[in-house]
Amino acid sequence: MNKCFSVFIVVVVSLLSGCGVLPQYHAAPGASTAKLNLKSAGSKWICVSGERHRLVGDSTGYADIPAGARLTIGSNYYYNDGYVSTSCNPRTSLVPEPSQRYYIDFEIESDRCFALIFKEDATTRTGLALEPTLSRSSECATK
Amino acid sequence: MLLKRMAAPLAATLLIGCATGYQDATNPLLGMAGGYWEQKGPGELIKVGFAGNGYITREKVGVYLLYRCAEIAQREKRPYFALYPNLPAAVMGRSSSEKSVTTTSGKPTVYVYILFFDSPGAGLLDTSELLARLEPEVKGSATK
Repeated sequence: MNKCFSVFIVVVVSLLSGCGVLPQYHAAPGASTAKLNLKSAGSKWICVSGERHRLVGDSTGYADIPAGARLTIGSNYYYNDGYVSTSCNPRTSLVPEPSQRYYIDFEIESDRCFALIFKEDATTRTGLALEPTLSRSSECATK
Repeated sequence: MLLKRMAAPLAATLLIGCATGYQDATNPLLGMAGGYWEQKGPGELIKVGFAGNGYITREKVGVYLLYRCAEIAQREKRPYFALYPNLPAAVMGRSSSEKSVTTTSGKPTVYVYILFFDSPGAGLLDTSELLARLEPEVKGSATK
């Protein structure tokens, strides 16, 4: 019952936050792309031409993102463990390198949340490396 | 029959009125009041958290989290582990001996990332020592 309610809330919040109606991002044929790991919580989106586009992962959980220029990436996040519920919509920006794989995560502390993106790096035990181009981002329209 | 129907709501009501105990947050009944949880990745990291309710102190949540980390290390048969307050700290290798507990939606919640080691080293926590030191405080109050 509790789980059903949580799922219901996630669906409602997702729809209300607009991610249910965002257009899906499709990389242009031949365009330079990088990969973003979508396995962490939240519905991910990127800002393309001033509009939010929903990211959908492939069978391995990765989505293509445009490479070579600064890109804003965000997430509509809602968490409910049955006792504490939290929602936020963090975003950040980076300049993806062509063919590089990235990992997006969210840190929540003291009612504030942050979007963080790392380079995936199989040579480290954490599987990650700091992304030097990570920076604050500007707002992006929902439609 | 009526008693059976009332048992779960009654138990839940009673539990919600108590401070969160040292318990699994995924427990269908006890988990309503919070508890510990874990999540694997990225890489070899394990994210470990503890969610408390409005009756538990932040200090106690910190102790429970640390003890749970040591229990996981013991389960994985690893004598030492590094504790990182967040993912950037883990990526930079900046370990810590504890983490300050903050509140989310007015309730004390905390998480850390841990990474296991087989040999002692600077900044690493000793699994056996932590379990022995914290057990009286954790097990002694687990049912309160």
